[in-house]
Amino acid sequence: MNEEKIVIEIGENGDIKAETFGMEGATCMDELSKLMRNLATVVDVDNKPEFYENKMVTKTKQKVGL
Amino acid sequence: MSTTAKYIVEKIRTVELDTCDSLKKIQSTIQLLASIVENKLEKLSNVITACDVAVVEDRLLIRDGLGVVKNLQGILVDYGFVVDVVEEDTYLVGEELMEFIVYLQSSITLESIVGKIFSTDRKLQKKHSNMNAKITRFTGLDELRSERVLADIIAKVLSGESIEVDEIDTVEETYYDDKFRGSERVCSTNKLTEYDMALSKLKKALIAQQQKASRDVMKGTTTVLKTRAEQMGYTVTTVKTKDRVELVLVRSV
Repeated sequence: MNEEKIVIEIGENGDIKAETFGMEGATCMDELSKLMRNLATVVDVDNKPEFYENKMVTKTKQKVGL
Repeated sequence: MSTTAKYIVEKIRTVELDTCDSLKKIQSTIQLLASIVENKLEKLSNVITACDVAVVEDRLLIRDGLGVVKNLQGILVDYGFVVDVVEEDTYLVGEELMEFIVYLQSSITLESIVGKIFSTDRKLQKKHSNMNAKITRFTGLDELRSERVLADIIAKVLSGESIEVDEIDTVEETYYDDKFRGSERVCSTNKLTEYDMALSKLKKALIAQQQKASRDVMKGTTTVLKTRAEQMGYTVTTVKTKDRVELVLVRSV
């Protein structure tokens, strides 16, 4: 059994950073979109090296401003 | 025979304070507070898209008739709103910053801010038009309200009047055979210190409110994300540091 993991950091100034682990293909962005729906707009996406190995492991930064 | 007489005399000088800077500060503070309230309500609006909204008694009335927002009351509380439960699916939501805006004698109302973000449900508004019995009082302004001089300052600054402060010198005058021989200042009091202290209290209270608003947005956002993650089948662990919250979401597939 595999494990999917998302680590989300929420800052006092309202910014959100999210990093996914163990997700493949479009699942990564789909999961983040469901979670962040209406809460944040994506300002920056950093693909991890795994992304280029056909694994969609992505580090996403999102921002919500106060 | 000669006589020496001493008299205590109070001499009053009036100092006029310039209020121009204070007026600008109060006006910019009102704008800042209104933008913070607007921002919080915008964040909330993204969560309650399927709810009916109205403004009653300067509070926001939210009805989740479809029951689609899980943990709505918890989310509202964590966003820093004061929440009264009206009915099982209906909440009356107060924003304490609005009290500060009213205290600063602004004409900005919750209704005017809400009007920019939500469409008002007139039926809901009519149904709950008299809510007095159910409203929780705000207490954040109690300390400032006890500063009578502060209300006076704000009123004068906003009406463009100058503020006059009396400086009182207590002087001991000595007369020798009814002829003035000299004077010595015994003490001096003025209301400037009182005014400064009152303004400093106002400033502190406003800074505290702004900081609280930042923390509330973080807390509210955390609760929304946690609730959604749990609905999506994740087990959520929360780690709090001084200025950040970390959510660790884990799901077995």
